[in-house]
Amino acid sequence: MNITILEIKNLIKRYEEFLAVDNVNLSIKEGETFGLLGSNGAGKTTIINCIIGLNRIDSGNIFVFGKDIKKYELEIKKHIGIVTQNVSFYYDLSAYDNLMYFGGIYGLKGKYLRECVYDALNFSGLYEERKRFPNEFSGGMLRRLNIACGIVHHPKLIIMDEPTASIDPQSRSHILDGIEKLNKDGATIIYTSHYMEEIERLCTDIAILDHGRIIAHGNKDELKSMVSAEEKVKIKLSSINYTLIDKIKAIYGVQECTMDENIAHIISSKGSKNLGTIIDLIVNSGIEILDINIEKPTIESVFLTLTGRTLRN
Amino acid sequence: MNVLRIAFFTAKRQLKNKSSIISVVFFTLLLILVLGNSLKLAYEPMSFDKQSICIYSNNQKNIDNFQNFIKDNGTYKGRIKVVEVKSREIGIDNVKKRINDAYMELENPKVIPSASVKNLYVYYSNDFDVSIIKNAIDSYKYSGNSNDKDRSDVVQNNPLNLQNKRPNSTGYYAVTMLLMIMLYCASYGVDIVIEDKNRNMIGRIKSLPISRTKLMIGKVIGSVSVIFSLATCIIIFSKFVYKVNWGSNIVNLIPIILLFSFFTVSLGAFMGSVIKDAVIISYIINLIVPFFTLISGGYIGNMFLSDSINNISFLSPSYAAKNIILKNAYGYGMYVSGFYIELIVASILLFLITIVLGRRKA
Repeated sequence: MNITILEIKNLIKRYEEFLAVDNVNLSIKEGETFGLLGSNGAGKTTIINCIIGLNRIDSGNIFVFGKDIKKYELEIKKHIGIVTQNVSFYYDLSAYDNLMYFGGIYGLKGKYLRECVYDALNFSGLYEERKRFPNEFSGGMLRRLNIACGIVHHPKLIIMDEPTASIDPQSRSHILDGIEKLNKDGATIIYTSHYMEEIERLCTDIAILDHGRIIAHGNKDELKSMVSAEEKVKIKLSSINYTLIDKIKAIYGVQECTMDENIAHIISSKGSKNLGTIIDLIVNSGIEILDINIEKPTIESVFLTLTGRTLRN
Repeated sequence: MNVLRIAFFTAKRQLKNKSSIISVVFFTLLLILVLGNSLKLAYEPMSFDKQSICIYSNNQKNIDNFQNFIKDNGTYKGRIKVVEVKSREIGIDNVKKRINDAYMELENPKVIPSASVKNLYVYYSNDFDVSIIKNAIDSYKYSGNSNDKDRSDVVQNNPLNLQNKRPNSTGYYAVTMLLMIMLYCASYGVDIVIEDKNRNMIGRIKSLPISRTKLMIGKVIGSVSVIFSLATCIIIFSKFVYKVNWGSNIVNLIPIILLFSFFTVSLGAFMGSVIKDAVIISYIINLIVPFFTLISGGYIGNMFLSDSINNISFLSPSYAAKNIILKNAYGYGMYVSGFYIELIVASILLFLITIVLGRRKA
């Protein structure tokens, strides 16, 4: 569990004047499912491209299985599986032939190759469709074939770049179950997605990237604790009373109270324990409480808190 | 091993496009049929064709006599062209190359150079029988210009082994249209480069544990195999159905068909490496293929083309391949070793540039 599978040291990558990756350092241990979070253009795909050799590294080093990727590129690639953001296989080969082709290039041969291909087909739920061509597939099936092509050689390290983008819930569920199984079987996974609930479900360790830099890194609890310096409560009221808002703001620990239609959004300092006081105040004002929702920090709220809510290009 | 696997799947993918494959074969065979029949008259040897004979003698007077004989004879005047050559070797070579239809040598006894012709040697191709020249030489012989003591033994006929007749129109267009269609198959070479530059595929390709060079070699082998197979189908069909003469041993065509397939794929791959836009490449292919075919005499034979076009024929790879194939089938043509070298050098150069560009961009 403590073997380092991937180590990135002081990675810098520029596209002309644009600094895409700014001195990134990362270490991923064997058996982890590592989440790489970031807005569009944050540098996630650039880091992945540097790992697989698609982008040249301007500065820094990447070690995979303890070996420098610059020196042992082809050897290392045999043990890496990539599930690309866009589906990438040949549309003029059947699902089976695509897997035979890519499996063969990864060095698999004969009976073992066929076994691996059938494993990948079963894993992706495409065994029955193996003789069909991708242009006959639905979006979900294409995504599953894309994953099958990336894992056919049973790689030790699997890099998944938004593997569930634009697919139906059934396919997504199938894929997420499959990723959990891959991890359980011993694969180390690097996972990027815009779906925070996927990251929350799958990842044991998460790094948040912004403007090419890692701004937060840790397990889920560590990240949540970074932004849980405040407690949020949403209280749905039967009617609106603006003098009540001022009274709530005056309660000890309350930092902010705003009304959105008949819902009061109250933010208090962590540990202020003022919820009882707030409820008493509302009830004594003759207003009925219809619903109370105590917001716990999620990875999404952590992400938005750290990267801001401003729209990005 | 990976290279062969890549080659196998590349060929399988290209053969998947059945409509394209069928249209390539069908269209070529149709072109051969249509052009072969519609331009028949232009290629069949006819009695009114103007033929040429080259002549050499150790006595200029003999040459003048023969020229005067032709000029004064109403039957042959305007139908036989007499060309003087400097040596027997040049004359025989001209016949072999079909520059002239026959070579005649008028020999005087060396001790008495001024005496009348002692011996008359004639070198000719196998199809000489149909030639008007044969009649002219016979007439000349019996007109007393050669040794008249024993006329029947004077003429030494030396048939040159040119295997067969000149190609008829179907035979000619079978070669040129085959080469034209093979050149159009440069698009296979374009595809093997362009498809991996595709934004979707590039990540997958780059992540594979194989060098760009091996990947390219595998794909080139696959594409060459496909083009070679298509060409073989066309050759076999035209041989047995259209009765096209591809030579006594069709196996001899394998090197040139393989080489031209390699050239075609290398040309396409080169264009794919230099130009990113597949549409632009398609336009270029649609321009250069007819151009190469035209200057190589693919649409109309070189004998009908102007000198200015004939002077640049060597620039066309089709011209080199055409001459090699015709040499194999009909036993004539120019120095095919030069054409082989031209095609080999061009193919390897294009292929190496493609590899180098691919590695630079990697």
